[in-house]
Formats: sequence, structure tokens, C-alpha cells
Amino acid sequence: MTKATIQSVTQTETAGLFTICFEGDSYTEFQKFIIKGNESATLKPDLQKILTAIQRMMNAVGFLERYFRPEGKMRDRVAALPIETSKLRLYCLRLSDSVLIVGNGGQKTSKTYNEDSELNGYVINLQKLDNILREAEKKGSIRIEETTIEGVDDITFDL
Amino acid sequence: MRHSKATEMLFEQVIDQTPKEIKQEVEWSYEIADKIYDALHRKGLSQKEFARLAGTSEAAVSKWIGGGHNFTLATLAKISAVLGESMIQIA
Repeated sequence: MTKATIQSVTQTETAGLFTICFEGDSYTEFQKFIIKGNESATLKPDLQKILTAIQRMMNAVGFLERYFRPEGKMRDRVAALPIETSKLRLYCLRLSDSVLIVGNGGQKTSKTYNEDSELNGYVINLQKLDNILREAEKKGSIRIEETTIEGVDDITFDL
Repeated sequence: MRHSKATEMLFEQVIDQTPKEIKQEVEWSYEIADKIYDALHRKGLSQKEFARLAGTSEAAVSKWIGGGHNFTLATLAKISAVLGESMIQIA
């Protein structure tokens, strides 16, 4: 089991972007994803498309459900932000049209993510976080409010 | 909540360094996706029915309205013909 916190990345009037950081890590999961893509000549253009798409969503209509591909299980909010012409995947927790937690991702080299231990790990972490957040939302200790997540300050999640 | 300034700066840095053609490609793909989706709503067309009229699959329509799709001219012409409105405008 590893411990993680939710950290904010950026916000607009339309949406809030967040990521997770594991205890002891210098980088957040989103940072790791960006660095990985930025250092690869083949993946860099796809990374740029994904980040441009995120920025567009934040400045325009938000994180609409149809912009994301469902991943994980039917009942969870884990989704991928795919680029059609590429195998680069960014795995996220889409909590609403206005709140997105981005995790890590990478190049999908197998037919399904769970055949790839690295990608599978990223999805599992988000699934675990989703379960914890759902329980906390039911209890009322965490709330998704407009473009932010209330109640997660100084909370360390056991994933 | 803790704010990761380093992540924010890296995010903005990569976007700033993104070539104009990539930004334009992304903008167009999402604009067209939204235009198709809005048209379906205005016309009361389901994705299933639209797919049937366009001679394609629901999965394909889902990609069209999902953003990030690299449309061909032939596909745009087909979509425009089925919806009765042009998906692109050339000034």
C-alpha cells in the first residue's frame, strides 16, 4: 500500500485540474507523464496534443464525458484521454465536467491496458482512489464543488 | 489543498512550446466534434440513427464527437451531407 495526496495543477472559471503525488516522490504523477512524453521524440507530438486538448477543455466547455474513453470498470470514473492516431494514453479520474484528476500514462503496446503491468498499475491506483473518494462523498466528508474538491486538504490516501 | 506549481509550470511550458500546427489541429478536431454533437442535439438525432444515416458504426460516431479525431475531407463531406449543414467554412 502506498500513500498519496491530491494536488491542484491549474484552474480556470470552467474547470479545475488536479493530480496525485505519492509519498516520497519529488514529482507528481502528471509531471512524470509529461516528462516521459517530452523526452521522447516519437511521443512528444502526441503529448503536445493531449495537453493542448486539456487546456482547450479548461478554457471552453470543460471535461465533457464524450471527450474521454472509459477505462477500468463500468462502475468507476477512470477514463483515458486518448489521441486517436497514437498509442499514448493519459489515465484520469473524471469526477465531473469541471473536475479532473490526471494520473500517469504511457504508450499502450498491448491490446488492453491490463496486459501491460505499467499501465495497469496506473489504472489500479486511480481505481483505488476513486473507491476512497466515492465512500468519502457518500459520508459527506469530501465534496466536488464546481471546479474544486472540498475536504481533501492535508489528507493522505492509502492506495 | 497543496498546489503543485512545478507541475503547473511544466504543463504551461510544454503548451507554450507546442507548434502552432498542432494547436490548430487539436482546435479544429474539437470544434468539429462539438459542431456535430450540437447538430445531432438540435435535430433530435441519436448517435445510433446518425450512424445509420452516415453508413457507419456507432463507434465511429463516438470517435467523431469525442474530439481528437483526424477527419478526412470525404468524412466531413459525408457528415455535412447527412446533417444538411457544412462542417467547415472556408473564408
